[in-house]
Amino acid sequence: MAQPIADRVAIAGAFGAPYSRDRKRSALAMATEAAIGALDDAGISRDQVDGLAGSLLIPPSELQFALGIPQITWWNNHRIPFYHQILEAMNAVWAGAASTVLCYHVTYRATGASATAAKDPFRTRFGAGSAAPNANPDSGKNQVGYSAWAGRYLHDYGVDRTTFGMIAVNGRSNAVGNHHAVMRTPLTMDDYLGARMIRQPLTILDMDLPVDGADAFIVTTAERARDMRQRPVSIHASSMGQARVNNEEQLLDLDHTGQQIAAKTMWERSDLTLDDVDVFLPYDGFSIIAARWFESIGYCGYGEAHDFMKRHWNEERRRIEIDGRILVNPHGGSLSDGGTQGSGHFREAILQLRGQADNTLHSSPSTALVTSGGFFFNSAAVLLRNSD
Amino acid sequence: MTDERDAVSYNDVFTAFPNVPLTWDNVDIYEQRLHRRLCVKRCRECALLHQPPRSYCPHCLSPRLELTEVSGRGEVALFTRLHTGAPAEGIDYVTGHPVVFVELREQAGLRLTGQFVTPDGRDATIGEPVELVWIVRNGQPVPAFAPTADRSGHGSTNR
Repeated sequence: MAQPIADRVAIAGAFGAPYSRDRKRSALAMATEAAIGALDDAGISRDQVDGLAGSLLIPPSELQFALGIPQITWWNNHRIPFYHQILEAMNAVWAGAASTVLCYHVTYRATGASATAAKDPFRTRFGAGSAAPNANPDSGKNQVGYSAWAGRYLHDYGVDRTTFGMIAVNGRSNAVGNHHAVMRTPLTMDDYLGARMIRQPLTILDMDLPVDGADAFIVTTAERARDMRQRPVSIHASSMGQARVNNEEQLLDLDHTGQQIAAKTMWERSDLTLDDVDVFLPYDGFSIIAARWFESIGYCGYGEAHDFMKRHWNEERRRIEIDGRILVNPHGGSLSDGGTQGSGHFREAILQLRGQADNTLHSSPSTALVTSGGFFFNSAAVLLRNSD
Repeated sequence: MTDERDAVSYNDVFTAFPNVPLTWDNVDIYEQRLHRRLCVKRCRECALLHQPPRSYCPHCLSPRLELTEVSGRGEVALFTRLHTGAPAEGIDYVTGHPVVFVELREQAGLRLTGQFVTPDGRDATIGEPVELVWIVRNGQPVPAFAPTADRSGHGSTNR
């Protein structure tokens, strides 16, 4: 059943600064660029912002000064994935702690992300990044954890790597049609199966693409949003999810993760069902995460993502079209639009619901489902809809 | 268990493991590694083991914890082969660094990770029994896991 907050808070502005492998700009400059774009998109001035929600790299104090925002009464600076910022802003607006919150995320290709990035002295001096190399080669944390659980997934359900390949190929096929995406060279399943193995069974095409880029959003009351420039997108229902045993090595199994908690609770808080969803944006920082979201959110049973995607596969366009109607990560996802830690999924959801997205299938999507985060300490599900 | 000691008394552990994020929660376990003893923490109230090491039992919240040596025997719960990672002596990321998550036979669900050591460098299979072996990296003993025929006392890793 819908909660009192349902559809009372809206996203009134969104802007994605360009992504590329090297923007030759500082992280602060990209965050500023995205923020100015979001203000302009919403048609409001900086003076109307009284809250900021960031994602660690650029503290709200720095962005406030950079943007010349006169005063703020609430701020938050939370780690990724990028759903915390939207949901914390939603709660702050609902509680009255702020009326209009600028949420922002900047991704800055860390030194550990590639050999070329490691040679860039600006990047090596950049201390706040999250990609500190893991000094223990036997550690099961982070990327290793996702890879090992991906292997366990294939083992337990007796499916092959094309399960993950469909996530990667779907993302790339959509990215080809999205002007914002970084990776726009067409990809086949054969390409995928021949890709360089990085952490068995995950290849270079199963892991999100490190980029320079930024996204920003304006979160405010649905009432205020109606007076702004764009068609508002309201947050109908949401939940974060985290399980008691939530680290990579000790996780009970893939049936007991934050995904199940977020999914169950989000649906309990919603008047809508999966049948109402017109566009699906599962987080795909690792392909296995998106594959599992099909199952956790209710499209199919455990272990059935492979068959589900195959059944809804458009071979001509090499992408998933659920019931011939619903696109999945139409922007290309983290694997091909760019590794945004989730902000790209929200950006695309909003563009889809406004009818401004590059890739469309449904003539007028009204409900978007964003399922963010992964298996360990970071899951969330959010239902967005446009206000007619 | 660490209360009576000064930080400086762990100097040899800090020296031996220059890259490990040592804390009061895990330093005793690393100290035991120097003596080739594989340990985890055990609660003196509820008797359950836990990983990663904490200063309060995550099962019953008791602060009365102690180190306990584990066999290192168990079953492979997860396996991956890494072609990228932190450089270390004896690791070849071109052929791949095989890492197993081993479910210890001492307690269902309790896992440790380590290098999978075989003469032919083969992959591990999920559910196969392994035993503890010590390898040496940068002059320090490191726990690793090798195949074994001994399945005695195993729980049920395979669900």
